[in-house]
Amino acid sequence: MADTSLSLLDRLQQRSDAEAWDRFVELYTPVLRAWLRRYDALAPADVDDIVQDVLIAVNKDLPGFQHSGRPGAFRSWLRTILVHRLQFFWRTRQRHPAAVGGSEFLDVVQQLHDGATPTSQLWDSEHDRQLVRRLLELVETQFARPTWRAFQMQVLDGLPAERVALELKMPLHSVYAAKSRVLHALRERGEQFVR
Amino acid sequence: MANMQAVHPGPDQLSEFALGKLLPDQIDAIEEHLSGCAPCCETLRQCQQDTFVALVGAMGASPDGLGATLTQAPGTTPTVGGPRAFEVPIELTNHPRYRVLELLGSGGMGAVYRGEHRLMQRSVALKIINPRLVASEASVDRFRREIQAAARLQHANIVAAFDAEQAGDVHFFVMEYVAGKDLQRVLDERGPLPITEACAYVRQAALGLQHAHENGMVHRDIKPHNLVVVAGRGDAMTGAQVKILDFGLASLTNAEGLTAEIETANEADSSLTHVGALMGTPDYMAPEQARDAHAADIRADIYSLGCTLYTLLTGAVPFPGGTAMDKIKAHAEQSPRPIVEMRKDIPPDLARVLDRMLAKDPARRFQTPADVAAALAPFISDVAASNRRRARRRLVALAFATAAVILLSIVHIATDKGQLKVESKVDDVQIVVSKDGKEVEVIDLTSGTAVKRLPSGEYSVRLKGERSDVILNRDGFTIARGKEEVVRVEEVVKAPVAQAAKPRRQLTPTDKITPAHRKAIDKGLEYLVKSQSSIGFWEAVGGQYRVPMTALSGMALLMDGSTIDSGPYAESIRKAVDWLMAQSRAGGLLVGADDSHYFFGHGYAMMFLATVYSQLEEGERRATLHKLLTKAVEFTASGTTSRGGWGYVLAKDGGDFDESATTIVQLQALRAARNAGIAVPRGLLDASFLRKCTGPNGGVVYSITYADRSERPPLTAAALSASEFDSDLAKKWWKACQKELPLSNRKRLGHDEFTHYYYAQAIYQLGENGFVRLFPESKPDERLTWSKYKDAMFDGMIAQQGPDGGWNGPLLGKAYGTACYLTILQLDNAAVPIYQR
Repeated sequence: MADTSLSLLDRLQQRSDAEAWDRFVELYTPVLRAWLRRYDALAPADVDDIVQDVLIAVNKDLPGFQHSGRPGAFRSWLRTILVHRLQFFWRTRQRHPAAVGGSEFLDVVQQLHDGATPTSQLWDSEHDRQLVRRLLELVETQFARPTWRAFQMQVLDGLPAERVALELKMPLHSVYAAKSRVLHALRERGEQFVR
Repeated sequence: MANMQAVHPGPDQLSEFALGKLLPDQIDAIEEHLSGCAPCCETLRQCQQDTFVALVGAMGASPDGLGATLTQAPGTTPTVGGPRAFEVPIELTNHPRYRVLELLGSGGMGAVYRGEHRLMQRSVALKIINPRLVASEASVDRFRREIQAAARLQHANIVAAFDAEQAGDVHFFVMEYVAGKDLQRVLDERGPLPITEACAYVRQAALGLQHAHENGMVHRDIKPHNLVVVAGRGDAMTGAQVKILDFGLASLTNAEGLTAEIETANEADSSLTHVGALMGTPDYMAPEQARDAHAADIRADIYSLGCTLYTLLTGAVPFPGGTAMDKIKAHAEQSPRPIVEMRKDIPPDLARVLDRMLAKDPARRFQTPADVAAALAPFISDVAASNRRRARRRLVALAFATAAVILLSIVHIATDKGQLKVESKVDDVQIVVSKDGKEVEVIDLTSGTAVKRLPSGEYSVRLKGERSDVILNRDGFTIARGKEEVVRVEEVVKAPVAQAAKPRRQLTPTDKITPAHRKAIDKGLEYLVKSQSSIGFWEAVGGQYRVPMTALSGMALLMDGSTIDSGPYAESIRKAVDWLMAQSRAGGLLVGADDSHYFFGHGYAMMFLATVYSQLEEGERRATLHKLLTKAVEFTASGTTSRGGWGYVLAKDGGDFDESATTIVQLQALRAARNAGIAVPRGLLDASFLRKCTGPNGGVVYSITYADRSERPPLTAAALSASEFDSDLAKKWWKACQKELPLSNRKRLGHDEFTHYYYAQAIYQLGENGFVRLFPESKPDERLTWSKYKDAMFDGMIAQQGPDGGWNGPLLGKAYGTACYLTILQLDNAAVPIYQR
């Protein structure tokens, strides 16, 4: 991409950039939380704890992350961290309930460990979906309402630019530019995490 | 611009423009060109999207409703777009209590408006929560919880939260409207503050914290940014008032309050291995909070307040250098640069107060915020006089200078308590909460959710007064620290057919069922009917597991002797069958595939539907059910693992993982299907998998593949129900069960329902003489018999029945508990073949 500025990922990997890290936390906390809420065995407070644990581990390990060039390399890397934190959490909390299938939690976690399981595939799609959802949330506030609406109607609702121009009483070139600007903001903020 | 229009962008550049890959100034240039160039617009129209744009576009079609056309509010002019979430929601424009005056700002979480209470004409700030953030029940709960926690605090030095409100689908909260400036901004603008001013601010914050402390709460994110200064109405010394706030509502936005969560140290360092929830910025975070946020108490806030004081006095945080991780380590291991080196006018006594606030060991700090306030008082009065007038004048000036109003938030509180949430769909209900037999709370409910914070402990809960129109979903609960328990007020759904007092139809003589048992059964069955949803299902707590809950409840109704066509519960059974049939999938699965453990529901549904099928006369429903059950059996058959068992999902989708409980459920369901005349492949009903799951002590383990080989009595009991009785394997299981599952009314265990649902079936099938046939050597008092089981267990089970007739299963809730105990109590009815001898 033509963007010459350092990506958030690059900035994060250079460690000292506190602002980049804040942006990462802002972006990823809801994504991780949404995923962790799927585990019935985790209380809301547990979810919060694990989110924190994962973010801590990400911060520590990020300098060592290298994109392999395969699509989804970052989310796979993150998945591995998630698995380790879940396992660590479960062991340290000694929270095995006297359940039928009390070890079920670790089993489900184990399925997340293996990239070929349906659980992992669900992670892949959920990760991307939640991430984009969050990106939209974060980026929306950067734009004036007509710009956002023009983007939204084109990309999210799939309406042709001419129709949007008509609806919003906006010149066609502005409609195109709106889409371009918002997409650019979205990419800048997080495209590297879904690549 | 002629020159721009003359030089067309290349097709690649246009494509990058369409995809948002160009930089903002390049976008500007191309936009300008496009304004006069129709051909380029045409080219753009045909540009292809890439994977990223496709990913974004897919969100428009998602149920999240991010597409513009999906967010249209009712009652507005229908345009294609409809109003966006950040406009004043229509529900709020006509709110009966609050009038919205102006938009103060908006952020990721939602918009903040200045408003006023219509009657009291009190200025308030209304924070609308972005609907996306409260799309889930969990996030609404969190939101309300935060407000409830903060609303309990009433103190001049804490921004008051007034109310959590819902208008239509819009959630918002109402809080004190404060025009002021946070201390971080004050610092940014002015640099280090005069000693008396800094001490006065910190002292006020300490007073606010003391109030929170007395209410069992800690803040966990004290920093200059969260302390707002209001000019002219506070402290006599400076004329200003400090109020603690938290911009976070971190639980909702999940981000704003968390500025850094950093590895504290590598895990080899034992003192820092337990990394709990790290909250807040590390610049102000106490060492123990970094290790485990849950362990942090009010003394962590005192530490953070000490860091704040240090910063106010020096303009620098105690550990300014390095990464967030370095900072956390420094808080644990290093001393900040002595403040007397940073600033010569600091009195030695003040330096000592600061040192004590910043002690690494919480035990060496001031123990309460009140102590901090007292220790700081001298430094305010000593220098106050000279500074007072100047300070006041400056602050007043600042307040006028700033048009930007601080957007208030509530104090983000972590507590030593847990909470009770009560949900009601009806108005005018009172709920009495008791502890140790004493009433502790009477909660007045209107429709909606109420939250009460309660100290840890066991509670019972009941409705106040005689109510026939509503019931509670549980009778008691245990509050644990930081956890939440939910009690729901449920409307009684009238079921006219079942309510009619038809004469009871008994298939078998009931001399085995005592009048007391009969009464309990009738009450239980009536509870089931009442608690069935109007479209036919039952569900576990939290709306989960509808299919298995419906199947098991349906079985309990069948055991009464009712069928889909006859008997007092026919209507209820019919609705359950119709609902279950509607859930079935083309591939044979009887559960929506969104259930990640679908083989449980699939098995129980197969058993129930097979039982219903076996009772049906020839007809359309029977033909449909035949097809459906045949497919269901095929689905089960297609899901076996390489070891001959079943897992939660098809073996091919679950990595060949298998598990005893789902296997047992499939085996029983397949037997029910076979008994009903559905073809079941030979070899499928085979206990060889369970043999492999049986451990050295005769008990059944969770899974062959799983490392944990502990034998689990509930699974052993369940296995018994799925086996032939006289096998060696069954004998092992009996022995293990006899040892692990004594017949007595001891304290309930988490899996009592599961265990006894199966164990009672097995012992019932054993009857009076089965055990002695298996173990001829056994002495009479060692023998398990059905009558012994009943004598030992039934009265205790009946005693656990709630006043509404339901049994509360601790893990899954009332439908499950009631279905299981009704099954056990009705075994003597012998109305359902699969449970029969």
